[in-house]
Parts: sequence; structure tokens; C-alpha cells
Amino acid sequence: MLEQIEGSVAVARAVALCRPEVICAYPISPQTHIVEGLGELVRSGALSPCEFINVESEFAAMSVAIGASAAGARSYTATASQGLLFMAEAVYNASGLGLPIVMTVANRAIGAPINIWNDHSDSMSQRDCGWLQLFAESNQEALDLHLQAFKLAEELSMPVMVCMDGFILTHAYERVSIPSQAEVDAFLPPYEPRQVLDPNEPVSIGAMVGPEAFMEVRYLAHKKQRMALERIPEIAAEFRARFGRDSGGLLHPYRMEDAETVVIALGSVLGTLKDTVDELRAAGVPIGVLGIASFRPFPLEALRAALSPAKRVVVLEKSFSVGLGGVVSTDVRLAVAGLALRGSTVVAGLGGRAITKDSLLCVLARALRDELPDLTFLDLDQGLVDRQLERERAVRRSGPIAENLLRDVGTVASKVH
Amino acid sequence: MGAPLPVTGPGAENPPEAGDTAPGKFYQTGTFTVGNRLLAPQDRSVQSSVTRDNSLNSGHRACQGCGEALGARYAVDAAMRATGGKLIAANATGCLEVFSTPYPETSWQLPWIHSLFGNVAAVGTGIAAALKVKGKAATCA
Ligand code: SF4
Repeated sequence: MLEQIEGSVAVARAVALCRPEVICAYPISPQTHIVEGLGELVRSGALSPCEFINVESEFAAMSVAIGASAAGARSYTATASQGLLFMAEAVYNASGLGLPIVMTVANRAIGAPINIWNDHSDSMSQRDCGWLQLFAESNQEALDLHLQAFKLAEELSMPVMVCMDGFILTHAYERVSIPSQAEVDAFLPPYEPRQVLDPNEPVSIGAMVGPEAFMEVRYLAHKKQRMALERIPEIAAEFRARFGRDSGGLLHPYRMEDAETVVIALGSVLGTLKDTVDELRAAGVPIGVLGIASFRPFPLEALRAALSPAKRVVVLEKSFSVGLGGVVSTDVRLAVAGLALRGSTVVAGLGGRAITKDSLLCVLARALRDELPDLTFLDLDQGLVDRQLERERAVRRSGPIAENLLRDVGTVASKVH
Repeated sequence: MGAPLPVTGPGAENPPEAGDTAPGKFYQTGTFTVGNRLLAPQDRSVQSSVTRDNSLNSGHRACQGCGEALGARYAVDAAMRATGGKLIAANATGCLEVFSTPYPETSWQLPWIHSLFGNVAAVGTGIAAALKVKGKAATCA
């Protein structure tokens, strides 16, 4: 059924349709409306049987999910930003134990400076934690990915993170198609755990493993992610057959036919990017977009195949490895190693700075002229940076950076670009 | 319990004389003291009775005389008895978790999970929630 609802509400409804048995979460912007929505569904009895556990922290949220999943319950939680960092130790633990928990990450910047707006720093910081990471482009895809995530997680017995842009998606009211319970039940079978804490058949979960088998346990996690590279497109195909729309998969190619220049991105910015590319295509520029829907496992082979005919690749990313450059770009470079491809990274949208079509047209024009450096920060205020560096040269006690910059900008109100 | 106990163990005041091979000589029998489960049932102490669950079974890697192993065995066996064997254990990181589990030698005779150092209560909450929603009558220790 089509409904005009908030992204967070759409995700709450999707999760409820998956019949989770234990939900545990600590509220944090911009994830809050998701768990509030689920809390209401549990309280009203619309989602039953389900235990909703209020916890004292994100660390506890993930830990409750670990216990619940190990005891055989389909378990769900959601977080963002600082919350994801606070639960980090348990995030690694859940994947190490092979527990198929599904978690929504409402992508948000990491402080300091404290900032509640969107970028991908949070989930990228957990890039190597062993969880699968799927990125939603729209609210419809966010909804659909949760159905697919439970299926994928439980088949592999590995946890899956569904990443959706905070505010841009979580708080946007868009039209979404909500499947019926019967349709979801036909797509997602009941959870059959591979390991379960059962007094009738006692097992020890979380035993110590020494050098004799530790590497093999880790390798198996990698192997399962590689298996997911096969299953993700199959599940997306099954989803299309049942629900009649494309969601998920490894890559989202757009106007890639004869594209000499390819722009790679993740998440909701793909919308703006497609509009920008439409404009360039209308002007006769052979340019396309490649959305990465599955960041972990990273589709190295599929990406290489898609990029082989191209001449240039621009990775537009909302994440940043300080002291290096792009995070996604590093993986893309690995995928295209040896190909004669000119590549550049554009770091954009950090801390919620708007990524506008005008700015994209500007940066892509430079890319098309082969004038784009390896690393660009979209709409960086160079003067603001230079004046702070000058202050630091001039006096030892130059003071807090954020305060200096805000005084210089002349506002303390939020300004997106 | 009336008869004099054929005590003793290492370090006792009256060490056995050389050549004395009487069974049970080195162990207390018929008491509540820790006993040797390798002895015949009639020679055992109460603590090594065949009716005990031995949820934390022998053969683990604790230091000799480890108080934590002793305490854990007392506590978990008592809980097993109280719950009729419907018990799940969550164990924080520490000696107990380490010495009891290196694969494939787990000493735990009940369903057992170790997650992290600082989250055992939350893991227990999750297990209890799962059991509640599944309508199972098990207890989480
Ligand atoms: S608690 Fe650890 S260190 Fe102490 S006696 Fe037991 S096993 Fe040995």
C-alpha cells in the first residue's frame, strides 16, 4: 500500500513486518523516530510477540541484542554516530560470534565538534567490524533493505547494518510502498538459528580461541561476506519478483552506457547526482553514476567490470580518513588496480553540508577537463581555514578551533552551505 | 559421618606413611568438602556426589585450588537444582571464562555464553527477553 510517511516510520513499519522478537535501543538523533515508532507498535500490540527493552546505553543495546540473538530470538537495534562508537566493542563481538542481528544506522557525523547532521563517518568507522553494510538510496530502499537484511543475516548467520542518511532520509516524508504481512512472511521465513542457548542441547558460545583456530574463525567471516556477494543479487532478484521493484543488490548503475566518466557514491546523494548527470548527458557528456549499495562485502569484481570501459572515475564520498583522504576511494582503487583510469576523490557533505547540483556541476566540469586533483573538499571555505592557520602562527594560545571559526563565519546558527 | 574421617591431603599434619595404598587416603569422604569424583561413589564427599550437576565440569585450566572455579561450581549447581536444569549462563570476560572454555574443551554442561568484560548483565537481559517472548521457562544466571 502506498503511504506518504516519514522515512523513520517507514523503517519502523518494515522492521515490524519482519516480526522481530526482541528490540533494544537507546535513542539518539537522527535514529530516534525509528525506535519510537517500534516502541509504539510493541506497546499497542500491533507487533507481537515482541519484547521492547529500554537500555541505559548503546553498549547495552547491542549487548541485549547479542544475548537475545544467542537465545534464538530475531533481534533488532538501531543507532547513529556517537551511539555506534559507544557500542563498538559489542558490534565487533556480535559479528565475531556470528549472530544475525540487524541494525539500522541513521548515518550522522562524529564529534568533536559535536554535530548531529548527516555524513557517513559513523558506519565507515566500523568498516572492518565484520558486519555487512548496505546503503539505502531512498526511503523506499531503506524499507526494502530491512526485509532483505534479515533474510541475508539469518542465511549467513552474520549481522547486517542498514545505513540510511540521517535527516535526509530518516526525517523526509516520501511516498513509500508498504508490503503486506503475508507478502513479507512469504519472503522472510522464521528465524532458524545455527547456534542457540538451549538447556536441552547445551553449547558454549563465545569460547576462547587461541592461535590454532583464530585466523580460521576470522577467515570464515570473510568467506561468508564473499558468499554474500552471490546472495545479495539473488535476494534482490527474488525481491523484485515478489515486490515488483529494484532494491538492494551490489551496485546501482545509472546511465552507464558508453560512460567515459563515472561518478561513484553511496546513499541519498545519488539522487542529486543522477539529476546532475541527467543535465550533463543532455549536454552530450558521456557520464554515468554507479551507486554502491553493498559497501561490505565490497563488490570488487562487479565494480571492476562496470568501470573497465570508463576513462575517469570520481568518488564522491561523505566520509574522510584524516591523514589519507577518501575511505570508499581506497577500496575503489583496489577494484580498478591496473586499469588505465584517472581517479579522484571528492569529499563532500561532512557534518551535513548540503551537496548541491551547482557544486557538483562545477566539480565534475573540472573532472571532465582532467583538472580535478586527487583529493578535493567540495565547497571547502579555504579562507576560513587559512585565517585559522594564520591565527595559530601568530599566537600560541590561539584558542578553541571551532569557536574561532564560528566567530569568523559570523554566525552560530546552522547554515548548511 | 560418625566414624573418624580418613583424612587428608597434601600438607596435612599426618602425612600417610610410605607404602600405604588404602583408597581414599588422600581425600576427605562423607563431608561437604570438595572431593574427588574419580573415587567410587560410596567413598566420595557430598560435593562430589554423583547427583551433582557439575555444570562446570572437571578438566578445566584453572589454577589448582582456584576459588573462582569452586564458587562458580557451587553457585551454578545450586541454580541448576533450583531451576530443574532449565538454566542459561552468561559469563563476563575473566579467568572463569578463559580457563573453562578453550576449544574444544569447554567445561560447561549447561548453555553458556561469553560476550565481553562489561556487558554480562545486558547479555542476560537479552537472553531473558528472548526466553520470555518465546514462552520458555528457563532462567538466566
Ligand atoms: S581466579 Fe584465575 S588466577 Fe586466580 S586461582 Fe583462579 S584461575 Fe588462577
